[in-house]
Amino acid sequence: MSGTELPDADHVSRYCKPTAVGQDGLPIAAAFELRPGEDHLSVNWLEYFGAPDPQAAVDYVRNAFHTKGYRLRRHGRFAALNIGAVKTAVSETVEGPARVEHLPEDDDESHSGIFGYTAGNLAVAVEIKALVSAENVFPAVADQPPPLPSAQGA
Amino acid sequence: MSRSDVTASPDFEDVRRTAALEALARNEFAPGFNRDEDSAGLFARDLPLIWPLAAEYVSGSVDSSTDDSAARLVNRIIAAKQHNEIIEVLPLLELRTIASRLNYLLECSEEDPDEPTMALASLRELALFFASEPQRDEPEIGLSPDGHLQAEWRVGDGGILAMKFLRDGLIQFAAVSRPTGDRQPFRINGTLPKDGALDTVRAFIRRGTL
Repeated sequence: MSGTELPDADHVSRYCKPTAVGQDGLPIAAAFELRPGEDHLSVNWLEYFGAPDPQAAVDYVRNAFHTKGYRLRRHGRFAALNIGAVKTAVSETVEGPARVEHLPEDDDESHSGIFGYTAGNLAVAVEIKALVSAENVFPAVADQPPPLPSAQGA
Repeated sequence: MSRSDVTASPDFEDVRRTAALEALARNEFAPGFNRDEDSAGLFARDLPLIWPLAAEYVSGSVDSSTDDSAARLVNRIIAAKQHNEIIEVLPLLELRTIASRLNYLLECSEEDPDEPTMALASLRELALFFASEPQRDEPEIGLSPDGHLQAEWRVGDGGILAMKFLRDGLIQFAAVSRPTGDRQPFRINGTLPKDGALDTVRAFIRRGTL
């Protein structure tokens, strides 16, 4: 699988399942670990939607998850991350370059991946977790359903 | 950048732990054992004995001659065949918040096919760790994608310490501090038995409170 590398200034969001969200409402490092056999962490490219801010972009991401039939959980969260910061965090811990690629899917056109580490690398997950703060975490399920935006390419 | 990357032989640990498990199991099934005695009052009275026993088990040096009633509580964790059997012991060890969180994680794990399956052996190791370390601040606890339980603490100003409880009794740990002034972030990671893991992260912990 190979895609276009995304710019360092842009952002991606990671859906964090309830079991990887602490009681403080913030994702824990487990949210950024790969599953066995995975070669990248699935994320969504937020600038793809041309939305005015990350919160609005996450609305589009929620819709993409609904479209592909993935059920978002009320206690789940989306964490928004700067791509350059993620690449620096990964490369602090592992040898070799980190990259974030756009990997569009038919029903999830902003789908992307963070490459450069493997399953079971807790150190990288902790480095990425260290980038997370309450300001860049959004609920997986909006209190009020967002207007149904139609996705548009950047 | 400071960094420590250490590992230990899991084979040696397996042998030590199996011997400890067998010693404790002999107490569990000794004549006179009666589950009706498993009352909260009994266990509350025995807490000062239980914590060191759990610590000895986790470090692989259990003394099976330790008070029989104290051994029973740790035995219940060690001999448990189901997740609930472990979690229901924790409030008796005054670990109610952790028990409540584990119940929530177990419910998610069992009811949501998108969630990882909680590994029983990992739950056992986490329970024994906190039974032996009751003075630790309560962490955030979650499930890693491979079903291991993971505990995470904020350390100082922006530092993070995570410990993953592996099925073989080892602890995988990683920590990073926030850079301060002209000091680079301090990083450690590795996989060790409990005592070794705590020794290794001690330098990190001294920079904040755990």
